[in-house]
Amino acid sequence: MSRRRRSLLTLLLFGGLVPPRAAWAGEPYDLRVIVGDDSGAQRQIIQALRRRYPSMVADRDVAKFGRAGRPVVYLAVGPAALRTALSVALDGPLISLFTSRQTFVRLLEERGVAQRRVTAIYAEPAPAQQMQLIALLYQRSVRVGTLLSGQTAYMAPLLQQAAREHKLDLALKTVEPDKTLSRALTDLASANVLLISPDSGLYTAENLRQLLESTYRRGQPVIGFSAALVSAGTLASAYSTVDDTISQLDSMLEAVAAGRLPEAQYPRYWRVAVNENVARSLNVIVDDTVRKLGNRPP
Amino acid sequence: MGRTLSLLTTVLVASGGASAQDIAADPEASNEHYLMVITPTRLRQSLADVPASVTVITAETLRRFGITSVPDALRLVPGMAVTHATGPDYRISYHGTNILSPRRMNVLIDGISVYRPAFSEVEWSQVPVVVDDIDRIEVTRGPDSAAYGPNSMLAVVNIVTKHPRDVERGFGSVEVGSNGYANLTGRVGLTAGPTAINLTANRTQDRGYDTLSNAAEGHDSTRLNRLNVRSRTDVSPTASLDVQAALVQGRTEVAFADGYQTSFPDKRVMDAYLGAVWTQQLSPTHEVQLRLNHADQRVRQSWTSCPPTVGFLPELSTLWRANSALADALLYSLQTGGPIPIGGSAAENALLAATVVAIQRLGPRAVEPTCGTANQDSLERRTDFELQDTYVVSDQIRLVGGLGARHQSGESQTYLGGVRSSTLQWLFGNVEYRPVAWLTLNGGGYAEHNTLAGSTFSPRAAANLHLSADQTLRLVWSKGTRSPDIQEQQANWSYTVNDLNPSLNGSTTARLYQSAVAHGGLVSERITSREIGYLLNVQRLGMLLDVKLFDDELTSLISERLNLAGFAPTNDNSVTLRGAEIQLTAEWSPRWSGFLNYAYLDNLDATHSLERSQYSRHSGAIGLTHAFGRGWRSSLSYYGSSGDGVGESRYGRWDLTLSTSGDVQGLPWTTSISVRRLDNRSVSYAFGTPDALASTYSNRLQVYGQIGLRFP
Repeated sequence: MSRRRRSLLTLLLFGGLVPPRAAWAGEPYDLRVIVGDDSGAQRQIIQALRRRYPSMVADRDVAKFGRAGRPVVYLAVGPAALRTALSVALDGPLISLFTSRQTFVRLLEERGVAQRRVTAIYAEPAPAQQMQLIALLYQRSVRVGTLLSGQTAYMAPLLQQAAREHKLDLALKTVEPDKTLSRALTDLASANVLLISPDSGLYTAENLRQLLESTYRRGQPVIGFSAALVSAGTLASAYSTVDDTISQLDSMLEAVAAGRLPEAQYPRYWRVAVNENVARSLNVIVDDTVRKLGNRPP
Repeated sequence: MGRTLSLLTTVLVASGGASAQDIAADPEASNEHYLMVITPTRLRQSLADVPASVTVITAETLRRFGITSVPDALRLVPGMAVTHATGPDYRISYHGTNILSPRRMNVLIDGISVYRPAFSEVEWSQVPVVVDDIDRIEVTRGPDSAAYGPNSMLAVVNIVTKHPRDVERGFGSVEVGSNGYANLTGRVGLTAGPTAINLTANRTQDRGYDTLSNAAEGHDSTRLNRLNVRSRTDVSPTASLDVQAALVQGRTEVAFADGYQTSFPDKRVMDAYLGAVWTQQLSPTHEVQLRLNHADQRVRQSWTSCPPTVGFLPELSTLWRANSALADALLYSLQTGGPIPIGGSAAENALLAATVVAIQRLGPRAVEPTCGTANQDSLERRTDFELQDTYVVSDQIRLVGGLGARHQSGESQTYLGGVRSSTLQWLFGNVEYRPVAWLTLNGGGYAEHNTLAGSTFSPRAAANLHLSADQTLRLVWSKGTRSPDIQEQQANWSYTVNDLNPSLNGSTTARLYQSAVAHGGLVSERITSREIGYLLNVQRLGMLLDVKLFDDELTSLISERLNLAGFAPTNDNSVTLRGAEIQLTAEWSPRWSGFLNYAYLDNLDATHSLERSQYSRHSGAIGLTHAFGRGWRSSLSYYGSSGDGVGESRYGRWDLTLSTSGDVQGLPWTTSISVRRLDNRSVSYAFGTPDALASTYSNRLQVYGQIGLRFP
């Protein structure tokens, strides 16, 4: 970003042209944002948060926040920030943002943290949203294949329930740790569509590429878990933008202000990304009702 | 901004592994790479964009309907004529025509042709692929010479095998069935660093028909062993190497070669294939492939023949070459005791006189048999390389082009009098252009120079009009060719018989008197094809419907039966093929799916009766499959053709398959039983003689069983 554009952005962000969330200014909490790193991605999310909550403070080092004069709510942006946050004793509730459910659960287990002071808005869409997308996309009952590792086996009941709700046939396969991903897919060759979810026990950058190539060779569409994966070659995905997540954060903070710490939850606001080239190549027709599917913030 | 932020979201989601980070970093690049897949049209295209009617048969379809061979799989293709002449002998051609030697359709395995260069044929029972290794079969129904050159004149069958990364660590299967059918397959999948390898070993045997026209007890069994290796090495993120090797070895029984045989002319075959493809991605939108392939196809076929001794006289052989009718008349007179014929030129009469003297010298032995070993051994070889460049210019324009060369040869003392060879060079190019959303244009061509047949150019132009998101109208015009083969152009055909007993004039080797020498000068067979197609995609029923109207004019056809008694191939023949085809597949729920195909064909104005020898005015297939749950599934299908060709019988068959699956200690297994009922126990087909040949099973019902175990 050029210096001139950065200056303009700074002016917009801090010059009052972007209206802050008025309600927050009056809340009896300090909002402290724990940042994972100094990447462009993090910076842009922090900027979006700051637009919403101008009085918040953000830092990678929790110790720099100092002592608060009043109650504090912490936000952890991304898994690295969550890891940092869980490694220290915080003097307020923690809300994890932009971290997948699997990573959230794993880090909590690793750190042995009681969940009552930690909650989350997961990064990935809810299984129900993905199943709704698949059902609308195909307009008929289809067989949905999903791979789970030992780390995500707890997802099985949730996926089964979501599939039942949308009258889809679910084929679940648990993959052994030493199994090649594309070989594991042979168990799901009869599935009409493959649904993938964040799972560090299964997916790496390299084997995700192999998965896309393998399924494409077979003409098997893949429903990913983010818009970026759709750009990379999955057919479609439900996903939430940063603004969608922040809108959900608003209500979560209101609950905190009322003295309740909500359960960790999937994104409430979402939309659909479609890779039109992949759809065309796989002879999948995507109509506008699919593209407009989702739940936008009010 | 929304999109950018969504990408960032993924970056952060990628907590547990760097997983999605790399993908998110350059999503556009990944996307373009994703579309770069090689296909029969050499550009990966959707059915709505492809400039031809295409049938895709998946491994899942083969499994569900209990299909255990490539020829049976092709019965699912509308308009495909499949004649099972004898156990190992299939005559298969899209829209039929000449059943003696169907040679106007190309067959590729992973893009590599298995078409035999010297004798223009595809030995279907010997294709170097195991059915359990097939991922899908893509059949381009119509001329595809614009993409694959000569011999892709009527259609192209591309058998795509499973990628080495997509197979299990281990697989074993046993199938047994009627008529001595047995099929054993074992496959191992290995991964070593950047390399994935699969190795498949297979043994197939089949007793064939129970009765043949020329062997009352039947003599057409097949026993073949196959060994296939395929590997993929990701050399770098932008380069990969695919290597394929295959061996096919075994024995196929043949009932008849000549009227004096005292043993069967069985074939011992040994085919070897080796191929490599280097793929280099120069940029996300630009890919280059270099292919190198070599194939050796060897046949050992010998038998004992005991013709009358006179048949070995060199004088008779000389007379035959000068005037075959006079030689035949002389033999007839010898057989019947009639007068010695006359009527040739002075020179021919002199040869006749010399032959008569030689016969008299033999005395009574002239009509007594002398036995020896005849053979039809052959070795066909082809070595080729091809460079292909695929370039995505923009969202609207995609290009593929390339060049290649091949050296091919045939070696056979019997058919060719030694080694004959030819070389070919070619250039090709295809462009897909989508100027507006409702229109896809395809244009391309293939130019080839063949030292045996001169130069040809096969163009294609097509427009796909997308009437709506789910409907496409397709207009295709194309030309295609088939090059005359080495035998048609350079035959030097005669039988040298060894191990003569008793010896003749002190020698144990002699040549039978009949021979044929090609005069060359043949040009390529040609087709001009016009097609109107309609594609309907009804997603809520999982239904794809393809309707095609076609008008194909085939000219310069080499239709004559090639045999020693009359070797006179010409380009004088033609035929017009018109008709309509319907292809429907549907999977309207995870439990129910099915297919329906039908072809109506008019074979018009054939100038040679053999061009109507494989012809069904009506043909089709229908199938329905249902999954009951808990791994149980049943399928019912029917395949039929009206058999209107010269000497051709009607074909009909019901298949009922019941299968179930489960797992034992984590190892998935499947088992199935199929019952087939033939409408007609016999299959008859023309042989270029007044009488057709027939092959017959003694029972209409056939039963097959299979059990397979996977080691995931």
